[in-house]
Amino acid sequence: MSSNSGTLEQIACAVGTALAAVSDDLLPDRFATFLLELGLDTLVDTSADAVFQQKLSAAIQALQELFAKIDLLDDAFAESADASVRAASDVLATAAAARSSLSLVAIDLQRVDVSAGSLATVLVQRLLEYSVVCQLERTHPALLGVLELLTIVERTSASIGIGPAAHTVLRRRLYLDRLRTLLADPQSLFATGYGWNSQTLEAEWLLQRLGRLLIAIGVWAGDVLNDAYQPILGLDLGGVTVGIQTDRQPPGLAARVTADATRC
Amino acid sequence: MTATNVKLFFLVAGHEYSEKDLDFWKMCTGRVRERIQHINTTFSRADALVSADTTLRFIRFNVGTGKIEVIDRDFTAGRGVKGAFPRESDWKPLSTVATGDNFDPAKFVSGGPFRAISNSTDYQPHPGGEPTFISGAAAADVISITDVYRSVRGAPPGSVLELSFFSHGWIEGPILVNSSDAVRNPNLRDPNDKDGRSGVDFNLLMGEASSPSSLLNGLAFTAAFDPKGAMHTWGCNFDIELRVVQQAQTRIKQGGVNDATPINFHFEDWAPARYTLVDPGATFLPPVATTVNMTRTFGEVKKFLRRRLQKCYAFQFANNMSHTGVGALPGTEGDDEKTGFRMMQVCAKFDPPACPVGFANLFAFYRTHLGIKVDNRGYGILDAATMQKLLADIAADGP
Repeated sequence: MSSNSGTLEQIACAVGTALAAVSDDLLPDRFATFLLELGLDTLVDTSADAVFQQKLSAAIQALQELFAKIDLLDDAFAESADASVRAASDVLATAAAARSSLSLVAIDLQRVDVSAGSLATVLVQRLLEYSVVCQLERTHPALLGVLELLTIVERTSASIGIGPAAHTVLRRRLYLDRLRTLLADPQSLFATGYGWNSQTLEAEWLLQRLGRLLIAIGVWAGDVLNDAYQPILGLDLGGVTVGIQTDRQPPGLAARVTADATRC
Repeated sequence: MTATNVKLFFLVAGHEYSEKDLDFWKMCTGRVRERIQHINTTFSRADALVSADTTLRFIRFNVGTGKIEVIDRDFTAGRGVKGAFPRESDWKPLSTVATGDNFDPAKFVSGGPFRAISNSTDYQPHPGGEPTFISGAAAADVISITDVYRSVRGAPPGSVLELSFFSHGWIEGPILVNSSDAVRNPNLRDPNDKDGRSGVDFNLLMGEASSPSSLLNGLAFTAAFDPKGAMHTWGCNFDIELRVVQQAQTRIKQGGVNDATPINFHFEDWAPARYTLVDPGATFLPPVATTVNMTRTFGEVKKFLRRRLQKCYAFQFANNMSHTGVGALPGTEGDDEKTGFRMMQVCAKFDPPACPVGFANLFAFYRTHLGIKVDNRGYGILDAATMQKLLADIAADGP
């Protein structure tokens, strides 16, 4: 998609690509782990259920149809403005159809495994959130870093199970409703998200997300290490260390110059 | 449209023999997507990778399955690449290209036939350690790194934009199957060895026995690369350098360090067992593992790290083939990306599950004290300017 194309075409292309890419995650070798990433807390094996697999295949096919529509959109853009608007609308309609296929998967997931019931009710929503966050990871990591720091996006590590069968996955959530709060009262986002301006500052989260943002914009934010070279709370920015100041209330961030400036 | 201009990307997926369960072949697909996005977002820049109508030909060597496949995408000047997000199912047999010209992979890619690797019959298990590949006649039909080299050499001059290895790795380079060099000849490859060997792979004969045709190996290999072409090895390069740099940095933070400043080092856990492998002549590290403390000047630390860099696969490629080599710097490791294009990265910061360890401190050290920058995924960039400075510093044999 050319950078000169119109807004509708750009949106259609981004939405279409984001959704179509999820077809990878529905493939048999990935789906069980994917459910854990979407929020399930036990591993569910759906591979033996032929009816469910059929619905899953249909959803994959519906999502993959988007690839062809996006290609047509690209061709249409070269053809004429009208053609590209029509093609963009076609992409969005195909995305809507794919969403319907995903809804059928979600409904059937409840039948396959009772433990997946609570996730099934929000599966499509979670999947759409996942697709948007993944698309941002690929195309706009700096914007993603900002949204994450503002708590509009959350990416958290979750450990499921114990022992050799344990899985540690990354869960992605998108809270668009917080955009309203961001516009009306941005400080309250930090208060809710991090306990900012209170005695219970969630410093680990705050520094983790600040670190991710800095890395996304090309600043190598590293770990502050203890004597055993294990990471402790803080960000090492080369000559400056950012950590938590607890000797005043409420606690907050503090920066400290740590390095000798001598260049050897 | 098939453009008359064709650029090649050789993407090599090592076999996963360890318990880490990494899908190197999927990382190759991620790289195709990432390269297309990069090209689509940068084609109007002066330093664009491609600017004229071009067929982008991605060739994947999947060592584990024995399959060599291709994805073609057409780049149109001023518009970019259509089909920007290829699927796994888009990889096709090489025979589907069938153009019959010099850019047809059938003309230059090693034909095999190659077979899939079996973790149960092709490996010798070692309880508590990594299994080792059983080399020999029975494994002759498993893809070797020499098949990759041969294919690159056969490509039309100036056509290769990238040679990437997604695999486990170490200082000597990509570990495609975890085989051994039983010959240990400073000039020749072990014919049964299938992994990268930095010491011999980029000499004039590329580690092969002397013959009229092998005399041109090195020249043909370097000539195949586009002037903007690069080799990228994505695997680990982890060893005791991590502890050396960390302890040097601790001292630097106390201030007043110059090249003559003595720094005290203490090694424990796994580190002393690495002395003789990393530094067989004990030029920097202690000669025996029972010695856990040593003192070296900061200048000696830098000399040690330059010597280690010299042994690296990316360094040897850049030095001998005169194209940019990119790879993990000594003391760092490549981990699988859990986000974005899901390739590999050298993590800057501890951030599980994607980043089990962070190396931003090492990036800063290498940049400040050895003049080496890393790319946006934490891999050291050994381009012409960096190599010129490194080689001058090595030749001067100073701190």
